[in-house]
Amino acid sequence: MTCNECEELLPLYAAGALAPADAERVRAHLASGCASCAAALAEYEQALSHLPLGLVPTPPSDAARRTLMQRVRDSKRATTKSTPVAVELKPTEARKQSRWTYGFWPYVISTVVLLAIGATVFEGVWVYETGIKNDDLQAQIEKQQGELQQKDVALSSLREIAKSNQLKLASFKATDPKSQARGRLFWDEQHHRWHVYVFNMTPPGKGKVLELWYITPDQRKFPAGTFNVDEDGNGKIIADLPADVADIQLAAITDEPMGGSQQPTGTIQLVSEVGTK
Amino acid sequence: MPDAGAPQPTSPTDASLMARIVSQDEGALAALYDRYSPLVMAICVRVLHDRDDAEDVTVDVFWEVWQRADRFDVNRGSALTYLTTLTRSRAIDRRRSLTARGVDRTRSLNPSFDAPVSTDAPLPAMVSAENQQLISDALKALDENQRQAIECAYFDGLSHSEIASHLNKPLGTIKTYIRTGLQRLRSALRRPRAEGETNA
Repeated sequence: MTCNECEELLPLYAAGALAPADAERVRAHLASGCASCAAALAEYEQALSHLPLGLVPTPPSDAARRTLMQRVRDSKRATTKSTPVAVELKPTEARKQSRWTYGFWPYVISTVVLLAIGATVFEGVWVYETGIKNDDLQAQIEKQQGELQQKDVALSSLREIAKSNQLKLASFKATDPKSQARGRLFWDEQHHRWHVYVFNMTPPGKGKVLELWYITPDQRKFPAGTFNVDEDGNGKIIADLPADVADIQLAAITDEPMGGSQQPTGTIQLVSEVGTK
Repeated sequence: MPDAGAPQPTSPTDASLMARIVSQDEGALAALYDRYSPLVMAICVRVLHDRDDAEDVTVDVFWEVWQRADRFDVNRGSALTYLTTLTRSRAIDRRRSLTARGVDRTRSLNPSFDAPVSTDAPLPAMVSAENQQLISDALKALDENQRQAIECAYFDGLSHSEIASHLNKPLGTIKTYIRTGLQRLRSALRRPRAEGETNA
C-alpha cells in the first residue's frame, strides 16, 4: 500500500469504519514505520476525540460517585491487609538476640567489606548484561504485542463469521494435482464479505503476491484483494464484495506482481465453486 | 491542534491529577471524576441509550483509570483524549455484549435520556476559553451528513457498509462523508501554537 492510498483510508480507519481487509492493510502500512501516515492518523484521532465535546454533559447520579469511591477504598484496604507487618520481639527474645549480636557484628562488617569489593568488580558486567536483557525483553514484548494484535484481528474475523445470519461455506481446490494447498471460503452474505483461509500454499516468488478474484458466470473476473502467506503456507484475506454484484460463480487465487493486477496474469493456484447468489 | 485539557490558572492540571492517581491519591481521582464524569456519562448515554448501563460504564471507566493510571502517557495526548477514547471503547464493548445477549441498544429506549449533540454545548470547565471557541467552530464546520456519518462510526461503532445500510445511502457516499468530514475537522482544529504553550 502506498502512502497516497493509506492517506485516503486513514480518516475511515481512525473512525473505525473500515472493512477488516482494508483496516489490516492500513495497519500493515503503519507497522512498516511510515512516520507521515502515523502523524496523520494521530491528527485524525485527535480530531475525533473532540467529537464527544459536542455532547451535552450529563452528570451521573450521586450513587455512581459513591460506588466508585467505595470500590477504591475497599481495594486500598485489601492491599493494606496483605502487606507484611513487622513482628515485635518479646523481652526474652530481645535479650537472646542482643547477646548473639555483640559477637556477630565484626564478622558481618568484614563480610560486607569483602562483598563490596567483589560487587564493584562484577557491577559493570551486571549492568551491561541487564541492559542487554532489558533490550531483549522490550523486543520480545513488542513482538508479542504484534502477535496479539494479529490474533485480535483473527478473532474479530471469526466472531464476525459466527454472528452472520446468512453464511455459506465453500472449499478451494488446488489446480495442480500434486499440490497440498487447500482453502476455505466463508461467504457472509449478510455483510457481502468473504473470509478466505488458505493452507499449505507455496509462497509466491520474490516480487509477487497472491490475489483473490471473484468470477461471474460469464467469466468476468474482478480483483478482491491481495495477501500473502507465512512460512508454513498459511494465510487469510477478508474481502468486501459490492452489494450490487450479480451472480458470483467462482472464487480463485492466482499469483500476481506485487501490488496486484486488474486482470489475472498469473497461474491459478486455488479455485472454488461458490455457486450463484 | 488545541489541547482541550489546558487548565484554568488555579486548578490542578489533568496531567498532575493523573500522576497523583498513580500514587493512589483518592482525592485526585475524585477531582478527575468531578471534572469529567458528565462528559464520560454523556458519551455512554449516546452509545448505550440507557442511563443505568451508562452509569455502570462511567463507574467502570474511572475505576479502570484508577487501576491503570500508569498507562497514561502525557506525551501521547491529553488526559481528556485518553478518557474519551477509553470511554468510547468500553461503552461500545458493553453495547456489543448486550447485543450478543439479545438486548437491543441500537435505538433509544427513552429519548429523554439521549445526550443530544449540540454545537453550542458547554465544554468542560478545564477547556480554556480560546480552545472552546476553536472546538465549537470546528464542530460547526461539519455539515449534517458528515456529522451523522461520523457519529454512526464513532458512537455506534458501525462499519461504513453498516452506516450505508442504516442511513440508506450508497457506500461510496458514506465513505466520502466520513473522509471529508474528518479532513474538515482536522483542518479546523489545526492552528499555530502560541509561544510557550504546552500540553496539560
